[in-house]
Amino acid sequence: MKRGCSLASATLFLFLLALLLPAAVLAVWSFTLRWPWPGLLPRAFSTDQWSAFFSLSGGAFEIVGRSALLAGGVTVLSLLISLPAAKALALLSFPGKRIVEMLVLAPVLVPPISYAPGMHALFLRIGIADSFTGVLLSHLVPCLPYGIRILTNVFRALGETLEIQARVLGASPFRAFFHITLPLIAPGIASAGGLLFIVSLSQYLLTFFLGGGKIVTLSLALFPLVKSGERPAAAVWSIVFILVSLSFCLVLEKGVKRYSSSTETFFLS
Amino acid sequence: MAHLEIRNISKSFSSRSRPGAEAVLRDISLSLADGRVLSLLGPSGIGKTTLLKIVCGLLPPDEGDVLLDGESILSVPMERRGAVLMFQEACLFPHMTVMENIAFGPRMRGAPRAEQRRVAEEMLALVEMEDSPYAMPRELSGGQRQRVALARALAVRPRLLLLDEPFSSLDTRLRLSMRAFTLSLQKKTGVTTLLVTHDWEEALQDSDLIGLMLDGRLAQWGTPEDLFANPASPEVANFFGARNYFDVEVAGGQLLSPFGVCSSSAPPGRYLGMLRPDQITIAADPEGKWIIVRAEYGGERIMYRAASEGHELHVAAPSDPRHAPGERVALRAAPDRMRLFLR
Repeated sequence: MKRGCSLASATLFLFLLALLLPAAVLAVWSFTLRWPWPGLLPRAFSTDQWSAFFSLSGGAFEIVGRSALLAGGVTVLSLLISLPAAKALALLSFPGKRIVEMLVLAPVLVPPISYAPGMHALFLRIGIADSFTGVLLSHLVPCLPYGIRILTNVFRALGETLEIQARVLGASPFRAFFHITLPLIAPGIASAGGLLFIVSLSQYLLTFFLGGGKIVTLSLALFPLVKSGERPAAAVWSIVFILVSLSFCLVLEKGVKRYSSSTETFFLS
Repeated sequence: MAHLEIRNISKSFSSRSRPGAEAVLRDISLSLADGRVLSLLGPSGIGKTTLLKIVCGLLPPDEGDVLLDGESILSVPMERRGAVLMFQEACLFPHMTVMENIAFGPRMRGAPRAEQRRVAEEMLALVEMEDSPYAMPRELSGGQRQRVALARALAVRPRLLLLDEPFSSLDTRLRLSMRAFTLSLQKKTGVTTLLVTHDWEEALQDSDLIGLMLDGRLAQWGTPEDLFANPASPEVANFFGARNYFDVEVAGGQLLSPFGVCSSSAPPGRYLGMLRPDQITIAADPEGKWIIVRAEYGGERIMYRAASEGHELHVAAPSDPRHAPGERVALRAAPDRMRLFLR
């Protein structure tokens, strides 16, 4: 018992170390002016990178806002599509269900570079290439498999008995879903939402291709900095990247908690 | 509350593992008067639950009709049928308090809040759960959950209550008390009740009517006395614990059986005679032609198996006096009590 406990805490410690150490290094880099090899610590510090980021002329806030809007939009849209699809896959039986289940996963197995050019050509024809809408739609491709997959398991775990029980007690299909199923799967929706947001936020290739380089997001801003070795500036953008996705997940979590604890308590007043 | 009529219901399922439609229900017809309890009895997996699902609207039948008070309800969506199904498990909504669970039905019907509350409180009192209106389902014991589930079902004032193997998830003692409690509530509220069970003793005690389903068909339906005393076939008799069969002959107004001769009004011919284990008496007799093969102690009674010339009979006898295996005994029965089946 005790040994198991200490093993668990050691694992937890290692895990935290693996998460926090790189973040700490990033933080140090973001304040670095010069860090010549093989020094253990930077030779000179500066806050230039941060003040450059916060200077309004740099357009950094616009990029952060656009990224959040894009990833948020992709998350909402993916969830709206995934919910009914996942429910059908989890609870209905229909011919070809296995094949559909496999096809749903397919986009994760295919690298974006193989379909991005084709998609761009198509979007050019229908007039949504190099636009926010185009990028948003393209992000659905890598996002939907995750959304559908996670929610399928969520629906499968819940089963349909409670919803049926609600129906025989007089709830319409929509109200049975809204009052019973939705509050019960809200935590599952939140974790799917967090993942979808991060998947969308990290899309470099699709955003670059389908946005024609005009729709600049966090990934697009970060990539050239990393590539050209501007480590202090890249560190600043990385930290912002982390903060954006982290705060989205936190807000989601808080919102879900409040939602599940407030929906059905009208008799307590 | 309503009069239920089930007319010629058939249903078959096809699945990949068993291609071709497999008939689960074949031409089932029943009727149940307002305020009565009908038990659907039968071995597991022969379509009793399927019939319940058809009545409440979860499944459409392939053929046939379901009528409540003379009107077909097949086209009525399940939330407006007024037939409330209760599953084996209580299936309470885990994110709602006891009160909210019970008020769910009235709330979905759009009852004003004060009315919801009044109904919920009334139902709580009915199931004797006034003490914990704001408890969450996870804080309740199994029996309490079932009572809340019952209150929740009754709160919609159902025209028909459908119970699918109710309380079978509880342990025996709790199940018996929940059963008695449910039946007393049924009497109090007078709701027409259709109940699925595989326990024939429970069905005999609980119901106004029993429908025995065997192999997708309704083998017989009627009052408990009817099914027990006048089974339509050996299969029906078997289900109610009958064990002893033998050839008998009726000729010239006389019934010839291994237990003697008596007069009979049955038309002449060869029959299969049946006696229940408790219709045979046993007595120690060194000259008797039966030998006890086995004695199973069962408290008040002992189940004996007695053999003679390759024939075996089951006898239920009081546990005093006791007969040991190997003992010679005489078996007696009144031949006129025998149930005859045409061969």
